[in-house]
Amino acid sequence: MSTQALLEPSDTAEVAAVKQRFSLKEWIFTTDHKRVAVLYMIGAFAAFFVAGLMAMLMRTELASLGPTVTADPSTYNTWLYFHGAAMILGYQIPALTGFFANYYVPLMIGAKDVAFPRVNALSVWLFWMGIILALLTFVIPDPPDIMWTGYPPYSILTGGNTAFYTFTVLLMGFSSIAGGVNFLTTIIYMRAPGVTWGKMNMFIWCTLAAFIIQIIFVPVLGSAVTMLTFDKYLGTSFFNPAAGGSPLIYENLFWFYSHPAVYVIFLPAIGLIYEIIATFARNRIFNYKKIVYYGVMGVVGLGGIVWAHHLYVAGIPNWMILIHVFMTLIISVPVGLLMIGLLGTLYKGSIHYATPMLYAAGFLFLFLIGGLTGIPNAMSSIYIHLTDTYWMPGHFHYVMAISMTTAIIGGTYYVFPKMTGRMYNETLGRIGFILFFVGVNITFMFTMIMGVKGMPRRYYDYQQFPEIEWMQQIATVGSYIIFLGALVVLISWLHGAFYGRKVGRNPWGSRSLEWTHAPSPPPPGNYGDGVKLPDDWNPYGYGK
Amino acid sequence: MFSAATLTGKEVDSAFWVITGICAVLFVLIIFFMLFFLYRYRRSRSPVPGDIEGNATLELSFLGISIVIVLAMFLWGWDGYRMIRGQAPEGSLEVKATGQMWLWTFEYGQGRQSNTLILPYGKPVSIRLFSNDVIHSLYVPAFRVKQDAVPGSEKDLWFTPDETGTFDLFCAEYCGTGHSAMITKAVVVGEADFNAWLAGKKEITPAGAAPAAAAKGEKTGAEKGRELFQSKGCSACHSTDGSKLIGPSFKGLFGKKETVVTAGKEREITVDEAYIIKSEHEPAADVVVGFQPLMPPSPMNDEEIKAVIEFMKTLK
Ligand code: HEM
Ligand SMILES: [Cu+2]
Ligand SMILES: [Cu+2]
Repeated sequence: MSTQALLEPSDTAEVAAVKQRFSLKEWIFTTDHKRVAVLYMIGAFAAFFVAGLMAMLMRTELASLGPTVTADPSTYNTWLYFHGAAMILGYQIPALTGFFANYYVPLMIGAKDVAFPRVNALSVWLFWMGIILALLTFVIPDPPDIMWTGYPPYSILTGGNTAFYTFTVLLMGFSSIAGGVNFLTTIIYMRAPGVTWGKMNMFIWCTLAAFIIQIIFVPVLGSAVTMLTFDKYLGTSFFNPAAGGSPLIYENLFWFYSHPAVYVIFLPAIGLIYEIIATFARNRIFNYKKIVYYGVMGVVGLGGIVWAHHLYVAGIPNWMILIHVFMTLIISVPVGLLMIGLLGTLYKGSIHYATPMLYAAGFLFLFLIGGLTGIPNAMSSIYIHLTDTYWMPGHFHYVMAISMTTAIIGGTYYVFPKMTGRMYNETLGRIGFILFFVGVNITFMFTMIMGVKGMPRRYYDYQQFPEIEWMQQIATVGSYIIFLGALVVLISWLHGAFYGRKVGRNPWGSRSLEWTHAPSPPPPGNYGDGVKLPDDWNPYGYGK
Repeated sequence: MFSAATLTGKEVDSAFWVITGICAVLFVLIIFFMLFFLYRYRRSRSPVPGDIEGNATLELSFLGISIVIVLAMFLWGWDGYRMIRGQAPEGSLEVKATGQMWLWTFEYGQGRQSNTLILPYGKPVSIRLFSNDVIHSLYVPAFRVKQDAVPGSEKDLWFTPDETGTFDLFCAEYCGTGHSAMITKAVVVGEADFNAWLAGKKEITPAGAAPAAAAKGEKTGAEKGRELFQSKGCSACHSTDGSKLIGPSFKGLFGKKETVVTAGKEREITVDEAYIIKSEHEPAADVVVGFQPLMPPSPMNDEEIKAVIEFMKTLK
């Protein structure tokens, strides 16, 4: 195998030297960015797993008309609430801006750690408190049932415990803001000499962009949910129409954050895909500068003025809709540029198909479908029919949930040898990918078709649609295949971490700093006495 | 897509198919390049990477072309949107629609009120939309229209039914436990039938429902009560088989002793006619222990409530 040739003889020795005794206390109080990353990883994948179980329960409930798993619609609503909130706030955002940002940013820029390691520990603690609070949903007598959007006045009137929602959002939000300050500082001030703005890894650019968005927009969501809680428990009436408030203000504030949140997920995810594709195709990033300036920064610049595309039928004024229809279409241009950049990087590459590359290829396909199914949404006349039907879960699972999950799982496979010093089993990796890929396409293709037929979303039952029961059943079978795939992925990681073949510092033959200069796994402090880079160094310099 | 039953809906459909076609072409085109690159540049075939820095012309032409496409889509989509969401034509039939957990009520001029949306064929309809409690959304898939009903403000929508028949009407904005049961029908009939109905001379029932008109008058109170139980939305929260939904089950309810909370204090009552009538008008006055004060005041008159009580008595 060609990768074997890249191993240096000293590598295995390095690996043995850093092996340490396990101490829980050290893990909890750690300030090492790589350990913080692992803590984020465990929390995020735990959220993914539990929220995934909720998805399995929902899919099973939907597999037949009438009650299947539960006869109580509010139980279904609680599952759906948990699924949506945990997948976004507990899994995707922390996996990308917590786990990967922590693991990669200091390594890729040649730094010893992040700028404020103790603030970093605070971030991960807040995140874990949020995860624990979210999991309490399953033991409290009045779990929240307000969906991850939490629209008033329902969230004010419901007997469900809206405060759990608010405090989970606030904990995650504070965690993110602390992380944002930390990573922006790290990226701006702690780059090793030679890692200039023009030579930064794509993932670093994307993370920088994502944290700029987080810092600007999270406070808005924080204040919105705080006002919501005041309305419910303290009798204020910001959003309560019974006393002159307006639910539409909340809807606007909520999406003012939650649409940009999509880019907080999207940017680091596509950054990871760039890293994977560059490494496995051994190729330079196609049009690197333009991709960064027009693509990444274009998304940051435009991302804050498209939120109202979630509200075309909510009853906002037509002039506002006009602006947002326009801006939404315009923002597809930088996103398209980012996609073209990926294709360009494949062009004349030398592609090696290990598991991370399979996930990257899967990403291209899934995100393409997600993007194309966004076109009918952007046509405001068609949108009226499609919104709030199953079409929307179908579309956003493609464009966000599933695409970004391929980036997260693929990114984890990619970083795996660096993190553990061992290689996962390639066959298990492939089986997991195939199950996952087949499963998601079955499930969400049928989800979209059901939406076109008019089935509204967030429906516990679908008495008026007996003719689509068979599609629901196929979608359910698809979701079981996804679940099986996720289990195989998990097994391959656990197996690899304990029994995998030992590897050296650069099993993929990458030119990026974390692979060429740090042992696997990197020791605390990463690079010892710092990195010195030759003038012609480039993380994507495969030509020479 | 199943066929649209409004004039605007038919235009939406043709746009939908054109867009689907465009998407299919783009899909084939992009997937071709994608698969070609993924296959052609695999390592065994392409051992040495090309190390291309980029191609500014390609990039700029992509920028240019995509902006043009996007602008064209914007203009076209906005045109359709304005047509659907613009002002209703003069002389449209006005209907006031109100959503509440989990029931739709439609009010016409001349005091006519209904829980199904009855409409005349071929005449533009303008709906003024309200909500009594939380956000709901009026959605008739066959009409290709949807609009949220927001408490505290008035929203509107209009369309012109272009086919007679019975169509499903849903709530498309999450509104709690009964969200997926907040369903009724839109029935489009000929103008003459509609006018007769409006004047109270004729009943119109959705196709597929039990033929109610035939047995009218001979119906017992309990049968009438069962129909009201369903059409007035009681069934969204109260079961007839003893299972606990949002409210207490009707099974064995009549004559039962219940502990209720009145003005913060618990007390014991017997469920009798007077209690039920009071509960319908002021649901929050006495709340059965273990339930939330979620029930809206009932739109029924005392005679109708008595019919429901007759029905309740049959549920032993
Ligand atoms: C892995 C397999 C997954 C399956 C089978 C699945 C399935 C579902 C189902 C059945 C619904 C409910 C549709 C409805 O009743 O309206 C749903 C909603 C949702 N899912 Fe997933 N999902 C999966 C993964 C994800 C992931 C990875 C995310 C990450 C962002 C995600 C985010 C959401 C969101 C935000 C909603 C909407 C919640 C709401 O309506 O409030 N899902 N999903
Ligand atoms: Cu959005
Ligand atoms: Cu609803």
